[in-house]
Amino acid sequence: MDSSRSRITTLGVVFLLLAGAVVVRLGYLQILRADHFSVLATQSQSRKFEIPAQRGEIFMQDRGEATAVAMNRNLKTLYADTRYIYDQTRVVRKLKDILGTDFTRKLSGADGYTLLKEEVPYETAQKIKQLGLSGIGLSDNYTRVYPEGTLGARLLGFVNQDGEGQYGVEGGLDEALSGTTGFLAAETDAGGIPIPSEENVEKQARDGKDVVLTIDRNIQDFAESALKRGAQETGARSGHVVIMDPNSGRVLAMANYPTYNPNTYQEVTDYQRFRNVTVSQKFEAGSVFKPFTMAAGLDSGSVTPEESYYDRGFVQVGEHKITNALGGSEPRSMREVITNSVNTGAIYVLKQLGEQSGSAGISKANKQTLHNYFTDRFHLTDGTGVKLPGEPSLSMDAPGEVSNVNYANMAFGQGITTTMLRMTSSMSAVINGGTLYKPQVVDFYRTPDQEAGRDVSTQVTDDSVVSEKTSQQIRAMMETVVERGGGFGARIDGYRVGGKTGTAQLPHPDGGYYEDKEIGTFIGFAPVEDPQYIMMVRMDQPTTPGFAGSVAAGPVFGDIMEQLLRYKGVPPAQ
Amino acid sequence: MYQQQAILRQQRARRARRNRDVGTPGASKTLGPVTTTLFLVVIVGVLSLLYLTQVTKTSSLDYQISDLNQKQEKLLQEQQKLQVEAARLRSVGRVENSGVAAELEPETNVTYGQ
Repeated sequence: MDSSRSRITTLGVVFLLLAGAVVVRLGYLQILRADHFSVLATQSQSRKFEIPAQRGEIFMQDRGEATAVAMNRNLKTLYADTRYIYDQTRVVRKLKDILGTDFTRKLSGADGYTLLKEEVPYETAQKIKQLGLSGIGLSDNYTRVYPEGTLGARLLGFVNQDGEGQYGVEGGLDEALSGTTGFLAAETDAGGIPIPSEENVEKQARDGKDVVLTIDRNIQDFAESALKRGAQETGARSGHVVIMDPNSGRVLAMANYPTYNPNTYQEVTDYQRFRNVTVSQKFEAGSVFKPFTMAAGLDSGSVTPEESYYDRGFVQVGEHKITNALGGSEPRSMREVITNSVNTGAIYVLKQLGEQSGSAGISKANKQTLHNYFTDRFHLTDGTGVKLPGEPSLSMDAPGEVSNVNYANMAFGQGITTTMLRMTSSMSAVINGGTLYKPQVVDFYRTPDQEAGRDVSTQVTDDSVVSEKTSQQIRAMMETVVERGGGFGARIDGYRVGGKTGTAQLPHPDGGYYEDKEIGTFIGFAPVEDPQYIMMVRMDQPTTPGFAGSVAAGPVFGDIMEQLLRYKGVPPAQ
Repeated sequence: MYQQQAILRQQRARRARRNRDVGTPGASKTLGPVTTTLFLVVIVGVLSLLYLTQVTKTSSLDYQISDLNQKQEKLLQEQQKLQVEAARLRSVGRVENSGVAAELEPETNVTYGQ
């Protein structure tokens, strides 16, 4: 009896010790190491899900209505989280049945999250979802679609595979269009699916703003079609057009040829094709600068339209001899300087500017006055402030920095660079009575929770560029270019059109200029009596014989402006 | 007289037996173990039923919400698809290359009325 009692007691003590050991171990794990295992559990069970924001859409104008030119399609992205895949063979087989793709290699090499397939159509995504495969998920992926194809491609830009806007409006307004990504931090079940709970932390995504442009879809099409025709007829390597309302700064079209399809931007090999040249490329525009020089002369009272000088066909400036394109040996009025694009006439005007007028040479005052007009009055060296990327900085050498011959050249547009948008904007101010408007590409923004968008108001940069009288005089002079001068290609039956041609030799990368390569430009407006539209056309390296500005750029201008005036119902002159 | 008193005492005793409380006067009243157990089982059962009803209802509503969300998502997808398709059909390029446009002629002589 005593021995059995002692054995029971011994057994009891052993069990007690074992139980005590278990209790101590549990205490160690659940009390002393509680924080550590809690963190592990949280990491295992909790996940952060990104909630993508929908990108804002882009619209062009079409007879007062906004038409979408950049839209979104929500195509799902298929992904795997290998931590929750318990039967890889089955998962691979099921996915292959639906998608036809074997994901064995992708899943075998993955540790955690791995992308399986992008742009999965909704119906296919639903079939995958219904399978309920553990570790397989679908997230929203907004894909950009451009329903107009190539229309406005270099103006709009595109969105890359990372959802980032590149070039054009997509790049320039990427922040406004992108919105803000949200997130959901939640506990997940064994399949990695979030469990609804009050303790989940969720931040709603904020969708991007829609952008309505000032660009008119139909005018854009006129411009692009005419450019293409013009380039093919003249053998030009490229062509560019910008059209603006001179009374508000609203940009109606920005066309570039050749172009590309932003839906398949990956196929483009030459990245230069993505650039909007009308904004981003500065170049020597040539004789289209002459109206600015003449406006400086008229506005400062240094010359009058009827004033004349004797044109010998050349001007000696120091050691340099500057000639006209068409020679000359006759008296010429200021009006004829513009009509016939006379280089020596532009230099004559330069010599009249400032205090020491009428001197044989070019004085410092002449140069300073021209510099002041070009920079402070016409703002030809200022950025336009347009909401598009790639606008270069512009400059003009100060009078003391360069020689007289440089300023003589600048008087007729050589040795000074500009962009098409800058030129068009500044010329608008010269022909509209003297008000410079900030170029505007965005009409208004629209957010999902706002019925009415926020207007982007017209902004006046300078309201005293030139006097009204100077403006009228320049308009009249530029009309003679189309009626009797090199702008014959811009004539439109029934309408009064004004403009100026420009033919500049293409600069050589090693210095100097190419002998046989030219850039032809034409800047013009209509109707002369009350300008409603101003346009600049640039054609690069046309092969048609003749001055490039006259035979290549002018006709393209005429083609587009005629369609534009009819489209807008502008009545012809009486 | 003593006989009457005895009869009265007997009657009183009989009445007292009929109206008397069972048990010891001043003692506490308790439920038996079986009754208590049954009572608890019933309470737990009722509460469980109530809980299950709520959970089932919530799950049922969750399922409906999920189903409606899926339908909404599908409709939004469809709407997006149709909007893109509509935009493509209205695109300038498509209109210009359409059969209708092919039969149009450019204007040659425009006259404006007063």
